Amino acid sequence: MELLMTRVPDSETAPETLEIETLVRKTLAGDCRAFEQIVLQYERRVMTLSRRLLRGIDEAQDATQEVFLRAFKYLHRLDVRRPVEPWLMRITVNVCRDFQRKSQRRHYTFCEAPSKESETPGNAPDPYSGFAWEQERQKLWKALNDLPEKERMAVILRDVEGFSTAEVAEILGSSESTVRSQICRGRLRLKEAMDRKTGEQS
Amino acid sequence: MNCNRAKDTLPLYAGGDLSPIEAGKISAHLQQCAECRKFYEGLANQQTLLRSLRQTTVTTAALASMRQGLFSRLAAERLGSWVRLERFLLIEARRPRLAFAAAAIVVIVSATFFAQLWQVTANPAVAVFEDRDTLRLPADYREWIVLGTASTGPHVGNIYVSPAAYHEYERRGKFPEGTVMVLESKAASDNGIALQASVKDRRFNEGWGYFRFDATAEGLAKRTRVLPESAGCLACHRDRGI
Repeated sequence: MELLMTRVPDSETAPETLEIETLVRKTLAGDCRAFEQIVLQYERRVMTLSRRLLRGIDEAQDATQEVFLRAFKYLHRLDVRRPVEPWLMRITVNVCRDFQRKSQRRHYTFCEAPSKESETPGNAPDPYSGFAWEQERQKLWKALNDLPEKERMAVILRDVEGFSTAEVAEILGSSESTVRSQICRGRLRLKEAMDRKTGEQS
Repeated sequence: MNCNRAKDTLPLYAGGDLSPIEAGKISAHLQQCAECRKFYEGLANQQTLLRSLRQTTVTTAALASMRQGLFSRLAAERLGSWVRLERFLLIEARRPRLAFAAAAIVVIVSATFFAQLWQVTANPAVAVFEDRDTLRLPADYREWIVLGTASTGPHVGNIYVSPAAYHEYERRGKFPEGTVMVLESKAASDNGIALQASVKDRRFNEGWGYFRFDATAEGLAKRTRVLPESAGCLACHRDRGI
């Protein structure tokens, strides 16, 4: 069930890319159904990332709609020979950045752990379902949200979403070495915050 | 390798982001240094915890609600075929020759359409009736095509037919319903004009109705009622098979 959330291995991407290529061409030719197929294929991925990057589920919902509307609008710019997912993730990151800017202007500071309105895919037992683990996870999530924005994005994309450093660089539109140092600093800062919290508790 | 340098790269080591050579150096250091080893274990745990966040995803209900809103917004986006045409032109603009061809097609199609519209409104090719049997005088018949001449009794004159009806006859070999033919004749004896018209209409005997516009003090009558039967006109039409 982990598969639902991890990326498809490279050996399996070929037929998927082929299918997406057909769907993209059909959409550009005016077939509305084809774009709905693309939405169905990537909606969970896009909305989950939006949820992680933004503060609330309502914002994530609006952001996801905006991502697909932008994708629809700029579909003709997509190079169909390359995988669609990083392209969509890049749009998602940009849309979420816009949303964050807007909510910062409204002094939107509320933050909640995503597990309240999220679910574990399928009925697979969560190996980290123990109470202590759950507490740790909540603590980590809060610490993650306190990271400086660039480090937070890099760590979420690399460690939570599971993209490679090169892919994260492509998604964020930045260089691989910059992303590496952001990830490094982010992880370090996260550990300091977690150690501090453990120290406060004991 | 000293501890400070090791600590700088340990976060990358814990996430598997180092090259084999760099990773080898760190491994060697960790075997010797207990403090760094403890630090690394904390980081490794944190990586597991971060990966476990991957398991939570948005609910199916939230997705469904998002999708519903999205599809209606997409439907609104698709409104208007001009938008799609614009999009098509935009895509083809990558290939300038195709873009030019597409633009040319748009121009030709709309020009033809407007030309036809103009033709229809400017030149009504069909007879205009005021009621079932009263025909209005076609004002511009002298701009029409002269089909030939005809003589009726003391009169001799030209037969006019509207260009649209004539072209239709050229194309299909018969006049369209509503065609008006006008026979403008002058008597040799006086200068008065006599105007006769025939209208192709199924309502009348053998498909043609015959009319005569008499001269009045103000010129020709503007309207006239259908004649009961005109043997001469009927014979002429019958002879020519029209």
